[in-house]
Amino acid sequence: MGTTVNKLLSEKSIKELNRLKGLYPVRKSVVLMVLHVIYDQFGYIQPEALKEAAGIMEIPLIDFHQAASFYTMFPREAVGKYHIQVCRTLSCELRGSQELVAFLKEKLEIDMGGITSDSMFSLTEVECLGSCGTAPMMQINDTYYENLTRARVEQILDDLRSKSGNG
Amino acid sequence: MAENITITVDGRTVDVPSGTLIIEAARKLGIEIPTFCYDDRLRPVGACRMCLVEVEKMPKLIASCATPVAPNMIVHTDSEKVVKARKGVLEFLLINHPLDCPTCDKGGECPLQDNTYTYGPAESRYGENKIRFIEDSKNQKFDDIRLGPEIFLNRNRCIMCFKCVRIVRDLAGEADLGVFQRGSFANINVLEEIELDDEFSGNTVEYCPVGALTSKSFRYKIREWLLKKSPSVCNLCSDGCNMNIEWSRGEVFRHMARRNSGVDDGWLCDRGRYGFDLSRAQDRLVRPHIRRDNKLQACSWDEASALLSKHLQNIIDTNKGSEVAAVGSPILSNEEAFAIRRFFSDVVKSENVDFQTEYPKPIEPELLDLIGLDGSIKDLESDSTFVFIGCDPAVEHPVVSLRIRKAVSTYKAKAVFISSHDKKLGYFPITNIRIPFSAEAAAVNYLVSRISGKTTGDMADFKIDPDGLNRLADNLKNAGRIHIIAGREFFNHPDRAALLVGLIKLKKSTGAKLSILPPQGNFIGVSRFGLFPSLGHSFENMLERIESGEIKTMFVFGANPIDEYPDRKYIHDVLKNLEFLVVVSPFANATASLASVVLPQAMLPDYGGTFLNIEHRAQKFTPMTENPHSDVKPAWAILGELSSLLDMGNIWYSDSQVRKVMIDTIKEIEGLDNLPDNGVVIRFPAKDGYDPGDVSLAEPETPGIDYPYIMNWTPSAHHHGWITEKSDNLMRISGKQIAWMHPDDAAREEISDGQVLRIGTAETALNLPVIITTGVNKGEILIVNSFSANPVNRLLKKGRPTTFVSVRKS
Amino acid sequence: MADFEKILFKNIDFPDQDKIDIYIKNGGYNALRKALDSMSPESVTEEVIKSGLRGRGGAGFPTGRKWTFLPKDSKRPVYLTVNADESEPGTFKDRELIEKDPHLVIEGTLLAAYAIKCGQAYIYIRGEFAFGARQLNKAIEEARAKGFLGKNILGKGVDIEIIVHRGGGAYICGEETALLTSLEGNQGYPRVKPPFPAISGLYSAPTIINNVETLSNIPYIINKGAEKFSAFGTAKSPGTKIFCLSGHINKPGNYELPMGIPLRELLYEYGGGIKDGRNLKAVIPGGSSVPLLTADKVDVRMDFESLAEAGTMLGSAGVIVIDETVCMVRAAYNLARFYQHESCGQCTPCRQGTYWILAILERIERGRGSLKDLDKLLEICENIEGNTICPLGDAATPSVKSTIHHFRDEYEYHITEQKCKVSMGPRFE
Repeated sequence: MGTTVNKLLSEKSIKELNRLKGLYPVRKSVVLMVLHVIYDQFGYIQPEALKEAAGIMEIPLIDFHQAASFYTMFPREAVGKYHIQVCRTLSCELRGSQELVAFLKEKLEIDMGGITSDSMFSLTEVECLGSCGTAPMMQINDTYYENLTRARVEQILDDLRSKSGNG
Repeated sequence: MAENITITVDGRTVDVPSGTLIIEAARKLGIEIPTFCYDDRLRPVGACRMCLVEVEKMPKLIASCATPVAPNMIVHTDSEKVVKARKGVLEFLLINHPLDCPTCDKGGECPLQDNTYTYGPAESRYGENKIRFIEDSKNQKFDDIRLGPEIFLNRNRCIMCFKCVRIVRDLAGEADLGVFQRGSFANINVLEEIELDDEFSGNTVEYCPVGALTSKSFRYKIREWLLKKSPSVCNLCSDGCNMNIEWSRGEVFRHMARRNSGVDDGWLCDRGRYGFDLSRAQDRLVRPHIRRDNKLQACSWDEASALLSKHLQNIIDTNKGSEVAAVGSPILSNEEAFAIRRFFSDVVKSENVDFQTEYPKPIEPELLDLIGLDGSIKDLESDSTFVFIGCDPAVEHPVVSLRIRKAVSTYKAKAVFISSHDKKLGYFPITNIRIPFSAEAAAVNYLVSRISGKTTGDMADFKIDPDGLNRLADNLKNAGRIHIIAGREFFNHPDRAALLVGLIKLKKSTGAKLSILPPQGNFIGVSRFGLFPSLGHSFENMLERIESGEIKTMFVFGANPIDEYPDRKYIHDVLKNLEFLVVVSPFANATASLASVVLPQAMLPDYGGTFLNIEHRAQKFTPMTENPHSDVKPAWAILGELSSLLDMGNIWYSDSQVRKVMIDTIKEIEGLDNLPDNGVVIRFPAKDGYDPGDVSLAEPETPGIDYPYIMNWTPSAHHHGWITEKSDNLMRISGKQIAWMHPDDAAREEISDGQVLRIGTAETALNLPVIITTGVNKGEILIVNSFSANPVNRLLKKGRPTTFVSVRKS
Repeated sequence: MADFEKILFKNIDFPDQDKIDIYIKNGGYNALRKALDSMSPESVTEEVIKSGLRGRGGAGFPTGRKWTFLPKDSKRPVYLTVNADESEPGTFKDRELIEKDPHLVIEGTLLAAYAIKCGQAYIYIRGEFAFGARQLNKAIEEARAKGFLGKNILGKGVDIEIIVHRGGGAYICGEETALLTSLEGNQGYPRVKPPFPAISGLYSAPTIINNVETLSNIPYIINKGAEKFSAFGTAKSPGTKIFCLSGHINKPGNYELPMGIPLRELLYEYGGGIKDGRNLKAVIPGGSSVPLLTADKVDVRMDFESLAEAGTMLGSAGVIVIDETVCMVRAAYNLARFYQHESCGQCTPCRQGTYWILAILERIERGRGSLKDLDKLLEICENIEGNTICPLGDAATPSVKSTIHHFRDEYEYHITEQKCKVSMGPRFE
């Protein structure tokens, strides 16, 4: 009902939503894929953008919120530009994930769940990311960083900082 | 088709149709398997695991609520393994449960409490912290969240049976309640800006197996075991849902479902459920009043009866019965309707009896046989295509609409609405075919022509876009069980005769069922049992005769013509002409304030009787046995006493006695004596097939420059008719009156969403906030809800089928 | 070890194997061509049945037989759903197949779809595998361009579409019915069986769900024949298997070896032995959901039957190696935290039981345990097992039970001394 003016979703996101619209025999199947679209554009589930998307998809808003809160991949509040997720499950813990977390906290000067003051990094722990043979590991945004050592972590953080500085 | 399967449960065998769930098979043997999440009306989820049973040759215990029987199954519901598992499930359920039974509203009727007592461990082994869901609000912490105007949720008590979300989402098709997070933190909630206020929300409270969901109107008020139950039937619409009125010391505390699987299937809509406070409404009339010094003043029954009998005696003595008119209402019982007709024809000798105060034109007598549901309520589930014309089932027949929702959601039936504004059945997929205001007859005629391959004529006059109708016509040619349903807007329709002709033709050309459903309570009962007017004695005729001075006295029973009649100024002016107006009403209202005598009428919990619902099912309602309102009386009691004072016989002293007289008089209703709990469907003999012949369509009117918009209005699911306005509960849920406006019109008038509109005719205007929506046609304004303080009928004018208005910012 | 041929990883490290030209050069899509040219769908199924291939997702159900559960001549469409929601701790094999040899997965999917007469297949890939999803989508477009996928495949009048559907982060969606519920746009709630997916699955239509590794075997079976395939491995567990080595092992990673290889050989010959020369304490042989084996059981053979005999399971063949420095209470706590976090919350025993187990283990970890807790933990496990809708409940208890069973002394030490009996020391370099 009503007319909504789309304000937040990018052209690219809207194009992707329209592609998804006819993709499945039952429209509701798109819920997770739509959340990925929002996540890809904003880095988190921007609530107003989600409303726009729900309107475009003609699916009740609550369906997206239920899913976003059930599945763990979709931060519901803004996170750092680089969202660091450290795997903490057994194989990674056996290879030092607790120490990796401590090292990251020290380097970034934030606590678990925190965001650096420049909003560059945020840090969380997650359960198994299916990268046990290359433990310890972390995921930053979409990318896996594996076989981590202190030296490698420092290098990664520096690279991301300078990449962002240049960008 | 489905063959029977024999299984053994606890050593006894039972024969059940294939597909039967084990829990139901056991139930057939009288073996009750405990459960929290199972409800035979909802999709099984097997979530609570309380119903685990042992099946021989199966490695694990299985959920009897979600597993169909298989041949030769041997089931144990009480084996050592089962007993242990149940105990384990209960222990699990309780670890995060607050165990706050002494302060919990569910105490006494709590399945968790009862099952723990019967099957649970005696003491807790849990020593860890409990998960607490706490709502932070204004620096205060609460266990409870307000989900909507009536419903509160305590998530700590919730045991995640998913009943509430299945009711809201699967049954009603609404999307205002959901499950958030997961694992042990999974919890039920609403979205921040969307309230739980759909028309079935109260069912979530009734069927919650713990005290997680509570109603604002009931919580903290009284303990369940102090309540007495009076079996009753709701009359706030014509569905006739069965319910128990639960009361203590003459005060009603709540309405609960009383399952009649043929009618309500155990559901109540929120209008029926939360309207329980009507009997103690602020405006409730509990004493007779007489006009003295131009003011209505309370008096005794003796005084009022003396005055009335003197007035009537005079009329009888002078043979002036034709100067008297009686107006009833669909809120009356069958017995009241019968007594009114009897009294006025036998005692007063007046033929002026009717009840159709809402319609500009009386219903054609031939229509009487067509009114009501074609087939049974249950049959609706197996219809495959519904065509609604001038009917909004979600608003007019909420609980019956659940059958239609089920047909649509489960059996993939199609629901098509032909209307000037969008209608919906929750989020279930439906089709709205939009036509201009009052173009229903033209649209139906078009469909008929298209289906029968005749030339369809030019629709340009009616500004109908034929695409949707063409598609529908093509679909109807090949559809299975078609059901055409007309409703409130049919009865109000400016071109009702032509629409009726069209509907009958459409029925014939498609082999469809045709139902014409009046939305008001006992409409069918009062029309069948006495209040249907004889020719020349309709309410319309009465008004003419009041104007001409032929009618001088009017009795009004339960009606409120000032708020109901579609021209407020006219009806007011006409009734002013009466010499003597008697209003018998449960509530003070605009009509009563004009009366010479006002009598307090009994309403639902005060008296007993029967109603007829849309499928002509006669159902009995019973009174509370203690009543603080000792002075309220049903119409038959009032008229019985008057008869006695007039010494004219017809002394009625109980509803069953009136019923006996009715049965003696009307052959078809023998069943009315000794009604079973689930009522009896009465088969009135149909008269010969009604063929109204051809009627030419009324030309659509075009707006002028000064009043360029067409005004239409609709009631809402929670507020329908003038009575629901008297319920504080219902007004809290749905006390808003709004106007819908098309975005193009809003842009032209420079009006934005939420602004207050002045909607005016030459004479008067209403001020209402606006919702801008494409759900209404361009050039039309749809008003949702009417209240006596801001009544829509102020804008309506007798003899003007279309109401043109101007619109501007207020 | 007897000679064997690599079926899955033959070209896994071949440069540009993910590009279709290289895949074809290495013999790719020959099986699809062969099947469409000369085999009926039924004979493809027949060949798979003959091969004895068993599901590689964990349950080990015979793949070909599963396909025959579909109703004959269904009026509804038949769906194939590929389970690429690899989430079992200790398991990372499907990811390598998907990322490095996506066409193998696609070809296997197309063959299975052809066999079961399915026109629409979905690959449900765990959301975190963003790169994997891109690899699959790229492979699909390449395959489409070459006429292997889409309408009228290879001009043989067969239409098969594949959609890559990304999950959102939920272990439970690896459970086949939860995967379907999730694919339908809901929270990943498992469904009560029956009905089984083959009768009523995705959108209530007949549906087959197969694991990535399972389907990646099909091209080989079609190319070389069932007998060649079943020559490897054991009689009841034919073929090869990808074993995922992780934890305290010198050379962690994926190893494709014949079924039935002794655990000792896997750890010491292929895995290069226990990290830093420490002693082995325990092995979880089939992903975190199976009971652990103590070091003395290291001669067990790695196949479905042998491991069952040893009181555990092959599961997903995620082999987690635990050395002598690991506190087993901490290990149990770590996995209890995982299962509590991943329980979907639908049914009572799992929702509440995993929470309770974690709460007790956490308390013991904090040094606030009591000796009574150990029996209580075992009883809680007993009340969960077998009483839940899906196998997650049963998966959550083995780590608790087997650590208490084999290392009760460590628990008791933890409770009475309020600290770990052994401590792992720094492992992050």
